[in-house]
Amino acid sequence: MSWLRVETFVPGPAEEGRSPNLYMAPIMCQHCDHAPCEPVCPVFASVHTREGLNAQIYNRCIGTRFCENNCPYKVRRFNWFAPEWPEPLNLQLNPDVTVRGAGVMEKCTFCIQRITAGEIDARTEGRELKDGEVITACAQACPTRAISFGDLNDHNSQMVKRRVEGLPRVYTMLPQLNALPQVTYLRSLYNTTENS
Amino acid sequence: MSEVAVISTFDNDEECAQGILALHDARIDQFRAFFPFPSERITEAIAHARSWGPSPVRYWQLFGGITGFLSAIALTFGTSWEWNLIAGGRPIISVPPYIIIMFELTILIGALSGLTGFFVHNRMPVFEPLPGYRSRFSEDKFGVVVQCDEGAAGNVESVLRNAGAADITREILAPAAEHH
Amino acid sequence: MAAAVDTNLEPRYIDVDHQVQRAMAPGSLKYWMWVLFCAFLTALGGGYRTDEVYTGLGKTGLTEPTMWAPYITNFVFWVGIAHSGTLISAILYLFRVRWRTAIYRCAETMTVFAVATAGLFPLIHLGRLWFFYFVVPYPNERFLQPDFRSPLVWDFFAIGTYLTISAVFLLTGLIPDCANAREVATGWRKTLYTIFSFGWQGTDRQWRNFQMVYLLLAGFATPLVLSVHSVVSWDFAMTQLPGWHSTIFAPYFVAGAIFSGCALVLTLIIPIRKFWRLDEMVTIWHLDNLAKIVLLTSLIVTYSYVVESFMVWYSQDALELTTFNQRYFGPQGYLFWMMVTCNCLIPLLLFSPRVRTNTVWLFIISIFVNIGMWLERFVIIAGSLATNTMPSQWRFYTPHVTEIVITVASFGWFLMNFSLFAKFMPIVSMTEMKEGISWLRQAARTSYPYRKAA
Repeated sequence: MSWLRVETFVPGPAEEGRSPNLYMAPIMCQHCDHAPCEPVCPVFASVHTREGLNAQIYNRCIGTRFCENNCPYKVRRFNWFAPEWPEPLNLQLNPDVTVRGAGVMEKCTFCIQRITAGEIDARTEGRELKDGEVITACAQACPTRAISFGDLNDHNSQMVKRRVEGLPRVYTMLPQLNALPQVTYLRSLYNTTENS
Repeated sequence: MSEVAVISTFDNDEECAQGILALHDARIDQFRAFFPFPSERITEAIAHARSWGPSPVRYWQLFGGITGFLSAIALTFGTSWEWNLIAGGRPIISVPPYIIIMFELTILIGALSGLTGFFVHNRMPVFEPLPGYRSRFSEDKFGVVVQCDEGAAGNVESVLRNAGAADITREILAPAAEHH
Repeated sequence: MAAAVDTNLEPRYIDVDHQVQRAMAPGSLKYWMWVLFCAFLTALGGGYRTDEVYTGLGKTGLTEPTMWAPYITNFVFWVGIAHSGTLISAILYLFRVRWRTAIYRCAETMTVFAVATAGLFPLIHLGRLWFFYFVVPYPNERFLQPDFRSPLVWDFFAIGTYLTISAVFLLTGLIPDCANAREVATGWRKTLYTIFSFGWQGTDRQWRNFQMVYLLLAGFATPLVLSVHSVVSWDFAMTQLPGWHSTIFAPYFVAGAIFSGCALVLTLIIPIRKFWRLDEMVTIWHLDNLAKIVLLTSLIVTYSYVVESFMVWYSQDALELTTFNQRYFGPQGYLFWMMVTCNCLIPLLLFSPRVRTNTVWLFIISIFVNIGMWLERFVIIAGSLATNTMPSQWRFYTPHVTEIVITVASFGWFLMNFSLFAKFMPIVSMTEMKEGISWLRQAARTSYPYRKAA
């Protein structure tokens, strides 16, 4: 179930020859501050944690699918059937991630299992979570380090610094809807030539 | 002297209303009228004869509605406050959506209370036919039944006959009959 | 239709009773064949539904992003139909409108069974049906309750209240009629009517309380007509999806609800008055008035379409313009234009008195109206979801067998319940007809203005 999709944008004819052939934007759950998916869930299966994540509680979800209807980014996925993993595909399942049943909504969780594991380690050792200690799977996998993950409240974190440095290029998706997404994107820059 | 029920049958509502007013003029108050539909004329005659105000069922509906409104407030405000979950950046106690719940519960509890009051005040469901009830009174005939002593029955019959009753019969009542 | 009225043979009270009780006579073979057919459709739907629960909602044509299409369309359709029944029986009662008397029982019955049918669909469309009770605020040891901010919880309360109040209103109005039927019935029917009349005997005290509670119930049901479908429309208007996020939805949906409901009353009552010979009580004049309401609400709905389009154009919002452009001219645009034909153009025929007083035309037009209103909900729900804010996620909905069968089965379920009720309970209110008989006598004497000279 694709919790993260890479959307590709083809530049328009006016930009031909002066820009990359393809723009790409990985889109996952934006964990909006004013998440449109949260107040429409009738059973509190989609709630905001105190840490700023939009949490999906699988046990509580009754499958009304209202949250995906209201999501402007369409990042949520529904289990239309009960998932089956005939052997040996069941070996691919991550033991830290709950297996969802039929009729339950799911989406990107910012690798909450990694966040929780990191926080538990930090609490055991009696310290704060360090920047870089928790990294999401998508950020870890990206070969060009296109994705940064961190604590927005930690102004020394690599993610916040990257944002601050790239401030003129920062944008969020569909800002006019006022969902206040916490995923920010940096615009591509390319040289323009006077004459194409 | 045993108690009897004088059962008079009228063919239309005007004559029935006349009968009720005639009984009221003759100061005979222990009567019961049966009619298959709430004719305005009969209702006016009854109101004149009985001098009772509007039905008390409305108080049941009013207090039921108020109860519904307050219980909706308790339910919504209480449960949001107890589990203060953040949803979409809305306030924990968000009043505008809760107004809808308050409105619906006002209507629901109010109407059900009114219905309960209706059953209570009519003492329904009724399992025994009331003294003097005839099945035609639920179809197309109007009836006025007077419960009195045997001696007074003659006077009652003449009052009703003068008012235009189509048919008058007398029925001896068992001693345990009670007024409704 | 009876010949020109002979003033020496004015209807008597007992005539009203006989005509209605004739409709309650044991059903003919054709009647039972019809009921069995509806029961068969219902059973078929039940079978497909069971399979769907067992296998998963993937059996339907639903997929991201059209997460709601067939079942919510049906839900809104049936809830909408219910509202005109309450309009006729409660609101017209408060306004003391005369022509309500002969048709209100039929309309109120339609309401109760339409809400009952509608209430099935939120259960049908759930991914985990067996946890439906999470939406109910029931006491539990964790004290966890539903989110009252969610329009679906408002739906639960609104539909639950509406079903309860409509059923209560119908059953209360039935009490004197069942007492009437009880007196002439025998056998198991007598027991049935005795139970539903609660021992009613029509004394002055009983009537006093009855009139008060009936008036109060009518008064309490009146705001429900406007509010329940507004709450249902806010299922859509409270989202940010272009095509749904519109302030006009509440009045637009309520007008559409009255529109489709009055059309369905016509669809139901025209066969009933023909097959059970109730045409002396439910006259052409009643049908004419119903048709006028259908025409009026059709004009309101047309106006709503125009205003909605105007607001989208005037806002020049890119998201809204895209969605509406797709709605009118996209791959599923033909549905929109079919809807406009059925809802806006065909009812214009009702401006003609000859059409309004012709039962065949009325029946045909009312069927088209309901097709159009079903399409309207579909176009709004499935169409807006398909062309949402993320173009990479545009996918148009096509139905699979499962939801087609369940949609048809819902009609079978509704018609089966309605037919059974209409046969075993008085489908015209004998009590109120007798109450209005002195006025009816006068109306029968004057010639109906649109009828040609006999």
